Amino acid sequence: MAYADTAKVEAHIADLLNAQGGVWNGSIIDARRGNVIDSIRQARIESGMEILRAIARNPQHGYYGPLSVLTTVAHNAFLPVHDGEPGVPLIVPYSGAAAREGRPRSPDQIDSYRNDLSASPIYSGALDGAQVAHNQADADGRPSPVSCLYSLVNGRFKFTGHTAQIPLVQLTRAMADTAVPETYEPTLVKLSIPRLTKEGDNLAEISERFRAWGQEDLLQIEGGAMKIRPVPNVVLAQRAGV
Amino acid sequence: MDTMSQIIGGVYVLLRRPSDIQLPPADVREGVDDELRGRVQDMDLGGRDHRTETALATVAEDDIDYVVSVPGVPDFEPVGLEYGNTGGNWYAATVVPLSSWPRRFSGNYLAASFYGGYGLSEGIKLRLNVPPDVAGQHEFRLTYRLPLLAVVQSGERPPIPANHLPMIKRAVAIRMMPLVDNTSAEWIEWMNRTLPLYAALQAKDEERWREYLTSSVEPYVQPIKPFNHYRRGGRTNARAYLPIGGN
Repeated sequence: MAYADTAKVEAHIADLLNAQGGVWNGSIIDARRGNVIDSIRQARIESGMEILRAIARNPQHGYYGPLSVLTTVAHNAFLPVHDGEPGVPLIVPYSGAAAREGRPRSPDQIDSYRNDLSASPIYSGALDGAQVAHNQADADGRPSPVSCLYSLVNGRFKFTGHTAQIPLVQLTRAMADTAVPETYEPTLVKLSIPRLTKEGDNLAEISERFRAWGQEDLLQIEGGAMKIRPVPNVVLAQRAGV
Repeated sequence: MDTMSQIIGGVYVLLRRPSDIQLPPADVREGVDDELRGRVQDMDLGGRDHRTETALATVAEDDIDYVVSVPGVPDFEPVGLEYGNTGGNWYAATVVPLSSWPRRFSGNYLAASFYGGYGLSEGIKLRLNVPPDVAGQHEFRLTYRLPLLAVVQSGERPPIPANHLPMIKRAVAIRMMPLVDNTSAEWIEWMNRTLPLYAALQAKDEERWREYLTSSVEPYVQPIKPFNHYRRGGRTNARAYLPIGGN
């Protein structure tokens, strides 16, 4: 997987804004913007984070996997701070077993399965009266019939089994430099431009168009799109001298 | 043999393991008990006697009569009484109603009359037409019926032949379906999909149950005496005879 070339993206943004010193001595120059490179970089980072958050909201997105990290979460704990939606938990049914994908249940079902009484089990003792606790193997070495189940309601995680890991996307600012997919470079540009216009610029019309295109891209990215439209040519010329 | 806990566990399995809040185990136990009461009644109404047992009884002197008890059996309905010496033969006592006692107590056989019962703190009482010292020389064996059905505890086995327990589990599962506190569309859809399947399986089991109730291991025709049996002589008196009093 290829990731966005941030230098090129920033150069593209500067180009579109006529902000490159000496290239087009028009209305906007780096001197007028002050430290324009830092501003462009910050806009690009904020836009990158927006794209990453859109990906994080869809666990079925093609880039969700590389972005997410399997995080161990205890039973009855709230999920750690994360972005977007958690993926499907991987649950180890009993010590030494391979992890399996969890299946969703209601919280009270999980509590019931964990609190089944060994003296009179109702969830696993129908065959021989012997309980197979949710995190134990049965006599044949198979998982308990009530293992590998989970509930996730209002951020609280419950599960049956030995241990559980949840794919979570935990974004950091550095990921905006390294983890934005290359295919979304145009979106980076589209989302950055509205962040860089200032009062007094005669760019309202242009930046509004970029903003709309960027938001449209974000919706498509959240929906799982792996390809978005390139940066279109803006035919609205700036009026010189404004 | 499955215990009640296993039956209840089986019901939970058939209902896809709802939580114990959606379906409390006590409710399932009540459902199983209700189902068993019906089945036990079916058995009582059938030709076989499923509730009668015989065991050594303790006959303790109590005032002018005796209190009869069976170790480990708190409630029972007496049906018959036998007596005998240790290691010897058993002889049947003649059970007579207490109301007819004045006419029966003086026969040269052991007459026994049961009275009292569940309502009395003393339990089942027994009147015998022999003095305590004679009665004390004998052992007594009681034939009794167990009460219809007490609430079956979790570790106990249900009073139904093991082969019919799948029928009980499924019948209770069907009985419990509307009681599961789950209004989700998924659950309702599952019930709609599953009930016909369970009903079909249940119909087959009910057929077996009826077959079991109406079939018998006894011969269909009892041996009858030949038409001229009275000419063959040897009419016998099968009445119990007690060698008490030198007779």
